[in-house]
Formats: sequence, C-alpha cells, structure tokens
Amino acid sequence: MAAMKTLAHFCLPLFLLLMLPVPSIAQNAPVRIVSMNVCTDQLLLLLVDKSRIASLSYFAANPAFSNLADLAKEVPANRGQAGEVMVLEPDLVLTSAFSASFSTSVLQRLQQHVERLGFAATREEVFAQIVQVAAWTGSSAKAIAMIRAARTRIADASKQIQPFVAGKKAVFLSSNGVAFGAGTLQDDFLHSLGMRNIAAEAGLNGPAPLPLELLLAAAPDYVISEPRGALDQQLAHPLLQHPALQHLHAHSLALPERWFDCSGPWLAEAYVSMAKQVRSSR
Amino acid sequence: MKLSSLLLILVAVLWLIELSSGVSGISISVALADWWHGHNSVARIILFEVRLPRACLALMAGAALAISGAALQGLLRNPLASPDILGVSQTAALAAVCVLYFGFSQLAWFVLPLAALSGAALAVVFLLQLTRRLASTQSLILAGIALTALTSALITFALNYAPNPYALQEVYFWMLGSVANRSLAEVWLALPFFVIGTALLLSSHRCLDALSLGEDTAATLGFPLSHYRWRLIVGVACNVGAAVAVSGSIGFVGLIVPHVLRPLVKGQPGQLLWWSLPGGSALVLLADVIVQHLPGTQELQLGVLTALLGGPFFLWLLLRQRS
Repeated sequence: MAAMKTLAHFCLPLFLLLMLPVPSIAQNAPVRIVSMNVCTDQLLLLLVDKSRIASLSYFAANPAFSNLADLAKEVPANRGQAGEVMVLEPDLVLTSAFSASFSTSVLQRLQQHVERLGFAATREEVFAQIVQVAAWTGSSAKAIAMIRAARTRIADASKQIQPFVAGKKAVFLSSNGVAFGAGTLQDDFLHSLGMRNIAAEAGLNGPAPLPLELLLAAAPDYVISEPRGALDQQLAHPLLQHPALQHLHAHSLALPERWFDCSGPWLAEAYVSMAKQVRSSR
Repeated sequence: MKLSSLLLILVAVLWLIELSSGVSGISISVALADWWHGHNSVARIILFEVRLPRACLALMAGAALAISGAALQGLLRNPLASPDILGVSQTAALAAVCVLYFGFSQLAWFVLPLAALSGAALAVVFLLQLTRRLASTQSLILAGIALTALTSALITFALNYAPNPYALQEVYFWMLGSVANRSLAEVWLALPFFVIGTALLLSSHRCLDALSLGEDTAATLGFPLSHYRWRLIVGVACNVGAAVAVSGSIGFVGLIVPHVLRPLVKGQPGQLLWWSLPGGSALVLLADVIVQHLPGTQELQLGVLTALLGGPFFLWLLLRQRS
C-alpha cells in the first residue's frame, strides 16, 4: 500500500506534465520573463537560465525571504509596478495570486501574458507548483529531476526521525505570536511526520495568533521558529523569550520560514534540518 | 472619602476579574494551591507569568494615561487635551519605533522607555510653545491633530527604511495598543518611570489648582511657574513614555477619565490628579476584560475598544463646548 502511494506521488507530476501543453525551449518558450513575486522569483531562478530572466522582485536578493538570494543579485530588480514591467517588454509575467493585484490587473488589461501562482498548503501542492512553473517556462525535465531528488531526501529524513517524533506535539511560532494552524504547509509538514500540530488542535485556521495561555496549556514537545538573528529588530521578538515559555521544557527547533513560504526543493531542507536537530536534541 | 473607597474597590474587583479571565480556562484556586505547595504546574505558570503581568500593566498603563490627561488639561487649561489627541503618545511611539527597528533598543534596558519619554517631552514642549501663539482651545486641538498626522507619516517613513519588511504591519498592530502576552520584565521596565512621573505630577497639584485661576494669579500666589511647568512636562513625559513603551498607544483614556471624574471633585484640577489614577486603571482593566470575553478566534486589540468608547465621547465633548 505504501509502495503504491509512493508510486502515485512519483507519477502524479509526470502525469500532469503529459496533460499540459509543453512548449519546447527551442520553439515558443518565453525568453523575456519577469517575476513580480518572491516565490515565482525563486522558481524561475531554479528552472530557467538567467539569460531568459528580464527582472525579479526586489525581495529575490534578500536572504531573509529568498533561498536563492546570491543567484538573484545579478538580475535587475523590480518593485512590482506595472510601468517598470511594461518597459521590459516581457513575453511572460509571473506573479502570485495574492500580491500586487493592481499591477497585475493593469498588465492584463494591457494584453500582457500574466500567469499567477496560487497557494501551496501541502507537500504535493508544492511539487505541483514547481511542475506548473516548469510548464509555463518550458523546463519540465529540470523540474522532474528536482522533485525526484527532493522526494528522496524527504523520505530518508522522515524515516530517520518518524519513530522518535510520531505522536509528539509541536507548534510553529512566527512573529507577533502567530502560529500556523490547519491548512498551512507547516501543518502538513508536522502531520507528514506523524506529529500533532497544537495550533490546529486549538482551532486555528491558517496563520493566526495563538494566545500564550493556550500555548502553555497545550504543552508542546517542540517549539519551532525562525533561527535567532533573523528575529532581531522585531517587536515580535520578545514573545519567544517570554519567561513563561522557559517552563515548558519544550525542545526549541529552528527552521527558517522561507523554506515554507514559497514552493521549492528547499522543503526537503526543512525535513533534513528537522531530522538533524531532533537527533541532536535527544 | 466615600468616592475614593468606591473607586479603589472597583479597581480591585476589576483586577481580580482580569486575573480570572483568559482563554485557557484554568482555575485560580488550583493555581494558588500549586503555588502554595511549590508545584510548577501549567495553571500556576499561566496565572503568575501571563495573567499577572497583563493585569499589572493594564493597571499601570491606565493610571499613567489618565493622570497625564488630567495634568495636560490643567497645564494647558484646555478640557479637550489628552496625550493621544494632542499627539504626545504618537510622538512617543515615533521615538519608540525608531529605537526598536534600528536596533538601539537592545543596547540597554532603559533605551526604549527613555526614547518614548523623550518623544513625549518634546511634544509637550512643542504644544506649550504653541499655546502662547494660539488663543482658542480648538486651535490647540487642531495643532495636536497636525502633530499626530505628522508623526504618523514619520513612523511610516522610518519603517520604510527598516531592515524588516514586516515592520509596518507589526507596528500597525502595536500602535492599536495591547497588554496581551507581556511578561513581568515589561512591568519592571515601566514601573520606575511611572513612579517618578506620578510623583512629579502629584507634587504639583497645588500649582495646578492655582493655574486654574490663570497664570498671573498663580504667579502672584507665589508659584514659580516655569519651575512647575517643567515638573509637569517631565511628569507627563515619564508616564506617557512608560505606557507607550510597554503597551503601544491606548487611546482616549487620558480624555475620558478626567472628564468623568471632574464633576465629582468639583472641578479641582489638583484633586483630579489623585482620582485619575484609580479611574484610569478601572477603565483600562474593564476594556481589557471585555476584549478577552468578546467572541471570535482573534482577540481584539485593547486600543480599538477604548477608541470605540472614546471617539463618540470626544465628539459629544466638542458639541457640548459649542453650546
């Protein structure tokens, strides 16, 4: 049964690819691509040769949000304004379904080819998004190899720690006391390791503030948050240092939020890093 | 005498209700028993590390804002004056935001309250200079609105250059004012400034009474006005700075409380200072109890509730001024 499931996971993106019209790079694949969102920025950098990228959002070169900040440094940055995108004369504009909606609607009215990437709340949706962007840009072969490698790393890391963490309670804490409830990639991540997400159990949907009292009463075994340093200069910082949390006896783990914010093979990094930290905390 | 004991009992009751309010539904008696027997239970941690700091901060922030409002109304001889309407809280917030987001607040524990205090002091000095040129009470309020707009714009401007791009969103929520999820560290941070500020204001109560008869009369009564003016400015700045540094900007407390209590002290500005302390605590505690009992998954910011009360109250005051 498990083998069947793995096989299905493996073949699903392949199958999807066959269904989609796949343009070959030689013929009609876009060659002047602009991205206006940090998630599509990163997928472009992964899948497409830099010579075909006309511009990326200015978040792409910021290591706090982008997993590929170094790669993005040489690409011209944009601020998501319709005007600056128009002058680049792109043949494909990528953005998220949730950002810069005014710019997007202006570009669409001006007959630009705009594609919008949705929201990925599960591991399978993450892989589907990689496949999706690959289909838009004509780089499917690269995407398939990438997903295959990520699946292997995730399976290996999960196998290592599942026996230790299964049934344990965990919570992802972000700034301002926000935790990740049901319907988030973090929730899917915890469930895939057989863990319980106390934010979802407390009734939270999506990212929402988790009252400190509920956090303490739920007594999580693991509190997962952004690594120290990245949290400096935030008003939200003091919550993670709240003296009451010291009484929890929870293991604190550090996983950067950028691994979950945008679809990409870095989701595998989250599993690998989690495995490493759980083993060393035991 | 009767009024004072009534107010104090009200504050004590609200404080106990605040301590027993919270989403986790722990029992206070269990928490106290665990504390007595030295058990480190969840109930005890929630009571002492989460609810106690929250209740203390609501108590302190309310008192600080209300006495500041009473002092400003006496000092400027303007019934519409209060720290948030005149832009004093916002100027304190601007200074706080600058030290928070550019890393200076980590230099030492007193940097944040000191910055908020300096911002508040600067605003009061500026307003005092303006009162020399602007005759009517309304024009001072307009100046306060201008100061509020200017500092709000400057906060956004500063945040645009903050290293953390979520800063704007965070500060937006922080500016709405809240005492949730605070720790005892914040209580100790604000307490010295609150004590010093309140002592400075209370020690000037006679001068405020004399000031209500006019500056010249106060001077002939033997009050060195420039000395007392500075005392009041520093006192207001300490209180507003302390409140803003730990709870953001909780609006309208400094306006509502002195107005409700003024008839009860027969218009004596000096005595009003004393009454404002428990009055402000009672209002903020009540508002914080209400936000915790409102339905909904996400708790309402405390400042939203005080603004819902304060906005209409301010309009009513304006209309009453006219007639």
